[in-house]
Amino acid sequence: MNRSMQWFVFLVSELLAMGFFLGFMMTESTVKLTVLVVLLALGLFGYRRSARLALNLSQAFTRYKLSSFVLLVLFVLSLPFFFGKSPYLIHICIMSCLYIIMAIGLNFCLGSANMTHFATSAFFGMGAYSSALLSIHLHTGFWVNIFVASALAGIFGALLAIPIIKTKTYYLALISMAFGLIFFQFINTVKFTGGPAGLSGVPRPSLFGYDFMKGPTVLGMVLPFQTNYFYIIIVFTILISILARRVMKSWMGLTLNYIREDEIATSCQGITVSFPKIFAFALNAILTGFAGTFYAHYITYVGPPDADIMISVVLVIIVILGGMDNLSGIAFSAALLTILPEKFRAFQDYRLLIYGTIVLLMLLFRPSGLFPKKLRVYKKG
Amino acid sequence: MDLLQTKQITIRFGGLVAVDHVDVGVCPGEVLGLIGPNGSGKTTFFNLITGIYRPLEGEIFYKGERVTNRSPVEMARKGISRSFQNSRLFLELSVAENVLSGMCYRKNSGIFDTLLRPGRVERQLTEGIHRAVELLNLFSQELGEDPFKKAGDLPLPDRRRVEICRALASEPSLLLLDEPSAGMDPNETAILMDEIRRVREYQPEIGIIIIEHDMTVIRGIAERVVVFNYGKKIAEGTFQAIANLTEVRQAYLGERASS
Repeated sequence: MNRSMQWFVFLVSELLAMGFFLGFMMTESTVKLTVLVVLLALGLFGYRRSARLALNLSQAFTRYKLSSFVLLVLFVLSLPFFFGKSPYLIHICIMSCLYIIMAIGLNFCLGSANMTHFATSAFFGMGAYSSALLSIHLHTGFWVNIFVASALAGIFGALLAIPIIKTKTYYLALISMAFGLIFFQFINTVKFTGGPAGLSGVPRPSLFGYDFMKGPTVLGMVLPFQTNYFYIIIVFTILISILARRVMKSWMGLTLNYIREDEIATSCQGITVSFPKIFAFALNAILTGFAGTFYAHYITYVGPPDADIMISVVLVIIVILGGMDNLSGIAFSAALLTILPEKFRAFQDYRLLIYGTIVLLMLLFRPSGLFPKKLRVYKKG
Repeated sequence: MDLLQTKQITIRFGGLVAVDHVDVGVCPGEVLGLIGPNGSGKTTFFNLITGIYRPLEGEIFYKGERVTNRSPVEMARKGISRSFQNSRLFLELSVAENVLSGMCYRKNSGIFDTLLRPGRVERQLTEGIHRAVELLNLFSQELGEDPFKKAGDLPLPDRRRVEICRALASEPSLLLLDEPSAGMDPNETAILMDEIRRVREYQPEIGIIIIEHDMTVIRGIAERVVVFNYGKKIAEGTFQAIANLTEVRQAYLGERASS
């Protein structure tokens, strides 16, 4: 394909994706939504089946990497103007971002090092509860908490990792699940954390006297207050994605991949195995704890459901569906699996059934996920 | 001075004495062949030297230093490198990345470089990849030409080649090869022998211990041969010398006790 053709392909596909997203978000009727989901599934199927299509698309996007990124960011930043009339849609976008951040975190363990664990909910709860407790007892604000509470969650994660990494595969999954359940029971029982009632009154962020309860007014358009949170979380999501990509492309990411492939061969190459694993858990916990902190300050309330083990299960599904060790794939599936249940509220009761079916179908037909990992690219010459 | 010397090392698994009071030494620049029937403790011996198993009795000396009970990571960093019997390549990674793993522990960039100076890390990785490709080129032009192929897509002889390259990437002074010719045809075995000779040209001071069932390889490249049977060392000497011993012939080379 020549240059102009590639430019055309890139522009059309990116605009198509954006249009699809907007259309999907703004559609209310279940029938129309189902049609759109089928269309998306067909599109993904075609992408996976036709090697030529996939190659052309990936070449076009590789050439116009920066443009596609800038266009995407501009699009995302303009979302509140499209969704100005329904704060709920902006809320869904915020939740998507939180799940993207958590999925990036889990990817260090599950995708890079193949450690399937179910402690995500504990890390999330740790972030949420520590920021709630910090702000209630020490009166620290949002901007302090996002660092302190995330760091606390990171330390918690690293400490949990020490016993967890003594085991592998199913045992690792089980022991981490046990920790997740223990954490849930702990915050549900202890008085200090408010028990089943949880803790309310987590303060909203403040920034130079700016009121986060009041939406910004742009060009005479009053946007809902969620917009403030939306922009903050977008900035963090972009920042975290860039940093996570750096880690994945570095020696550390490579080491985690070696460990995933063969631990004995890795240690016989003089590479320590336990430290990178603990590091992966710590990173995972920091990112998940960050999401928890943000969530606590956004909802202003934390309760035991924030440490429900289902969060862990959903996150594992997201990473498997998106494609292990493929950041964009994971971001896609995180957004997909956050938006879909929200748009299909009518089928709320069947949520777990649908998740289960997705996992089953993925493991049977596409164990490497929607977008499988790619080999790293190194500069030549 | 010996490069490696084991003194009476022993390991038992339950009632089975897998390696039984074995003394084996190897000098720099020497190729030592290790032969014996299946289950005679050859691979277990390698696992003892590389620290995967800890000996119950006995001592291991490496370059004059006592290295008993060290971890595999420490042994690898001291310069003992190995290949595995049932190839343990990083199959989902590229050939060059496989070789790069040998240089990984000597990287000098920490987490702050990773997060804040990605250019520096990328430069280091690219340099490492270059060295890896050079090493691959030394053994096989084909591997060097396509170093970003997935290791899992390679045919078996190439996988073994990559595994030897990977073991050499950390510039070891002792190389342990565990049945490198397993599953190869005579032609491929001949190429393998050439490659092992090339390793010695490339690094004349390197000591090599090679486990083999193929006697042409042992006859062709091993200067000294050690024979294992039921975990015991039953003979040691040049190939010609041990090939004439009745014990060895009975235990391994297929002669019946009655004849």
